[in-house]
Parts: sequence; structure tokens; C-alpha cells
Amino acid sequence: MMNQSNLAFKNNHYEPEIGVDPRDGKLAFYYVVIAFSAFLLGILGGLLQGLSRGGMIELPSWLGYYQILTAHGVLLALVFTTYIIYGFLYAGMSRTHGAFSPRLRKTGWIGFILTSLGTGMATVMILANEASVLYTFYAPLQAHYIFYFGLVFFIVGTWVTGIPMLVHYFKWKKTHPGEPAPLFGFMTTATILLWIIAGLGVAATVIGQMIPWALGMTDEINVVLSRSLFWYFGHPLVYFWIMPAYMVWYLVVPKVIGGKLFSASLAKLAFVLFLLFSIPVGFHHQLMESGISVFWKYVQTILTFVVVVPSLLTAFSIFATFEQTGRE
Amino acid sequence: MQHSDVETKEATPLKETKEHSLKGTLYFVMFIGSFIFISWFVIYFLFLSRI
Amino acid sequence: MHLHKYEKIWMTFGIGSLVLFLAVLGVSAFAFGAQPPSHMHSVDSQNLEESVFSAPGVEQIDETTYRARLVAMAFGYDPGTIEVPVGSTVIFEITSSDVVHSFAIPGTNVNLMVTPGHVNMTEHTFTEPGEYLVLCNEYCGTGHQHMQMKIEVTP
Ligand SMILES: [Cu+2]
Ligand SMILES: [Cu+2]
Repeated sequence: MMNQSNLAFKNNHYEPEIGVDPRDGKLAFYYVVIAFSAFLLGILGGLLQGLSRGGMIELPSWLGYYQILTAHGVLLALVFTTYIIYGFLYAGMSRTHGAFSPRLRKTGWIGFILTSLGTGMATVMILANEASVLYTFYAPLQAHYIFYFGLVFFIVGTWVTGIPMLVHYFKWKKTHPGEPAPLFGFMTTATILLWIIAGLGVAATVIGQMIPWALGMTDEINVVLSRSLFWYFGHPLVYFWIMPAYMVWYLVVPKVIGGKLFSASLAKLAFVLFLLFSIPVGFHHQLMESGISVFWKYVQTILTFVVVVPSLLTAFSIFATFEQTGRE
Repeated sequence: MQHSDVETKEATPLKETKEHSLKGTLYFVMFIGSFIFISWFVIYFLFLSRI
Repeated sequence: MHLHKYEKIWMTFGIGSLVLFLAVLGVSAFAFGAQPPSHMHSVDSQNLEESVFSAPGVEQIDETTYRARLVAMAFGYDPGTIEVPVGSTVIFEITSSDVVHSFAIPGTNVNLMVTPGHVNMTEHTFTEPGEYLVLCNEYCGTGHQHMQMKIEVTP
């Protein structure tokens, strides 16, 4: 049995070299480097929280528990995830669709710089204890306006890098008429589209509500609306994390085990469903809240549950890939 | 680019010529499915017991 | 699109469970009234003194029913302790005078968000005497972990 699968492994021409154009690889590499730097800092925050909660250490007076919690949340949930995903998607697009054109690559870099500028601004404000508002930053808890500007740069920067990946995919389709496009591009497109659509919500609350209010231009803020806009982003955010993981399951795992994908059309269907169902479901984070009627909460519950369908497809597909390869 | 042929092969919907049994797949997904199913009712009954 | 026979079984089971879950929730929400706290009233959080929350506390509505009007604030509730006899149903009406808080009684279904400008409402029947702890489970600032109140249910 062991022998057989090893043979299959070899017969599949497994090539260890990565095959990403080095110029594209550089941008992807920087995404991954920042991702893991944020990861390291973030888990350090988690360790400190655990130790101080458990009474093992006492935090110094200049370091607040919620300050570390905010750093932990922002660095792990927003910075690490977004950077590692962008590194993965960018490298993968170069690998499967060929090198990016210099113009697209340049746009990618501009987005990277914008995102990193935003990350830097937000991180500095958190470390200065001017933004201990957790990664959900619910109004009317208020952070320094530089924190909010940092968030805007972060989101807009990811859009700017997202666009060359979309253009790269559609250019490939145009130059290869009639050929089935690599699944990686299809899935990347769905993921980036989801991210752009989701980001509109957080951009709207930060630009339209939080910044004018943090700058003192308005003194009132519609709290429930800001929460709805935040979760319009915050829920699809988890699909933005899950979709690259599913890409690994659908595309990388079959290669690694020397088998093949169970069904490409079902994989595509799963991604289209994710994109569609991601848009209207953020309200389920407000189920226990006043100001939203029970009827809408029930509608939101249905929409949230329906998301299980692409996951059911995925679960079957993964196991089937394993079983088929095992029985080869 | 030298890899693109490998990539496109993936993308063509696979017509399984030699259908292997997927019994194990069915067992596994149903195992997970029943776990979710049972958990859902356990939580629902916890809610009811607290009313 | 070709679906394997087993995949059809699996998807039928999955989607069937989904429909069942949603039906159970729908029936318990709309036929039996087990609904999440979703009160629609608003209030001016800057001027609570001029609202029904000017004197927070418990008032008796009928023999076994009480209304508790409470104000959540950083980092506590007003009043900090309320008392009701065992067996009474308490209608909680809660608002916030500053940021977003929550109101949760561990071990019960009472758990709601308290957003400034809105009044949230839920009710609970206390069938066991004792002291019930209320906690805020939404981060509300540096003293969040201290935010709590007590409900004394007297025999
Ligand atoms: Cu969610
Ligand atoms: Cu709190």
C-alpha cells in the first residue's frame, strides 16, 4: 500500500521547484515575511495575556491588558491573515497564470506599500495605548484618528493589490480563448471579489462615521449602524480566511498526495456559493441586540445556515480525493 | 509557464472512467454530519432547559 | 454536473438537517415566542434623567411580575443590586449611558447587548432562590472585567 502510493507520487511528476517568477516571488515573499512577523508579535501578546490572567506574571504599569489584547487581535486576525493570504494568492497567480506584467506588478507593490503603511499606523497607535479598542473597535469606544486612517490605508491597499490579480486572471482568459482557466485563478477571483465587497462595509463606517467623529467634526455616532457595517465586513472576513484554506484543500492537497481533484465543477460551485452567501449574513453578530426586528434576525439566521452547503460539498470532495487516491 | 499544462489538466472536469468505491468517504462525512446534528440538538435542549 | 450517488445521500442529509434546524427555530420563535431580545424603543443616552430611566430600579407590576429598569455604564450597573422574591418573573429593560455593554446571567438564557440610544428587553422567571451574578460580556474599556451586578432572589 505504502509502496503504491509512493509510486503514484513519483509518476505524477512531482516537481519540488516552485516555479514562481522571481520578480513576483519577491512581493509574495514580503507579504509572507510581514505575515509571520505579525504572527510572532501577536502570539507573544497572547502568551502575555494568558500568563497575566493566570496570575503568573504582573504586567508592567505601562502595558495594559486590553492594549495587548487589541494588538493580539489586530495582528493575528487582520494583519497575519490578510498578508499570508495575499502572499499565497499572488504567488499562486504567478505560478498558474504566468508572470505578472510590469504594470500589474507595480500596482501590486503600490497596494502592498499602502497596506503596510496602514498596518504601521494602526500598530503604532495600539502600542502607544491610543487605540485599546479591540479589533472590533465598536463605537462609541474611541481610538486615535490615526488608528482609523491606518485601517483605511490597510483596506484600500488590499483593494489596490487585489485588482492586478483580477486583471491577470481575465487577461489570461482573453489570451487563451476556449481553454479552461486554471482553477486557482477562478478561486482567487472569487476570494478577492468577496474581500473587496466585504471591505466596503468597514470602509463606509470608518470613513463615513468614525473619522469625522474621531476628528471632532461630529459628536454623535449611530452605534447600531456602525456595528452593522462592521459585521457586514466582519463576517465575510472569516470566509476570506476560509477560501484560501479551501484552495489548499482543493488544489494543493491532491497534488501533495499524488491524486487528483474529485470534481472541478463542484469546487467552482462551492466558491460561487461562498461569494454569494457571504454578502448578507453579518447581522447574525447582532442577534442579541435591540433595534433590529426578530423577522430580520430570522432571515439572517437562514442565510447564515445556508452557508453550510458549500462546506458540505467541500467535506465530501476532500474525503473523496483521499479515498480515490488511496484506492488507485 | 512551463507548468501551465499541469495546471490546466486539473481544471478539466474529471470524467471518472474507473469508478472507485467511495464508501469510506460516505462513512466519514456521515460521521461528521451526525456529530453536528447531535450537537445542534444538545445545544437546543440546553436552551429549552433554561427557559 | 455529475453528482456521485453517495454525495447525493450526503447533500440530502445535510440540507435536510438544515431545513429541520431552521424549522425548529422558526416554530419556537414565531409559534412559541422564544425570540432573541430585540426591543425597538430608543432613548436619548445623553439625557437619561429625563427618560423612564431617571430612577432605575425594580417596580412591581402584578403579583408575580416585576419590571427592572437598569442603566449599564462603565463599569457597573445602576442599581448594583436588585431583590425579587422567588418565583417572580422579571422583565428587564436596560439601556447604556455610555458605550456598548452587555447583560448576561450565567446559567440562564438571559444574555443581551446593551447599545447606547436603545432599550433592550428580556424576561426571566427565577424559580430558585439565591444570589445571581450578572456580567458584562462585551468589552467596554479598561475596567470591563469588574463590571457586574447582583440579583438577590429571596425565598
Ligand atoms: Cu459571522
Ligand atoms: Cu464590559
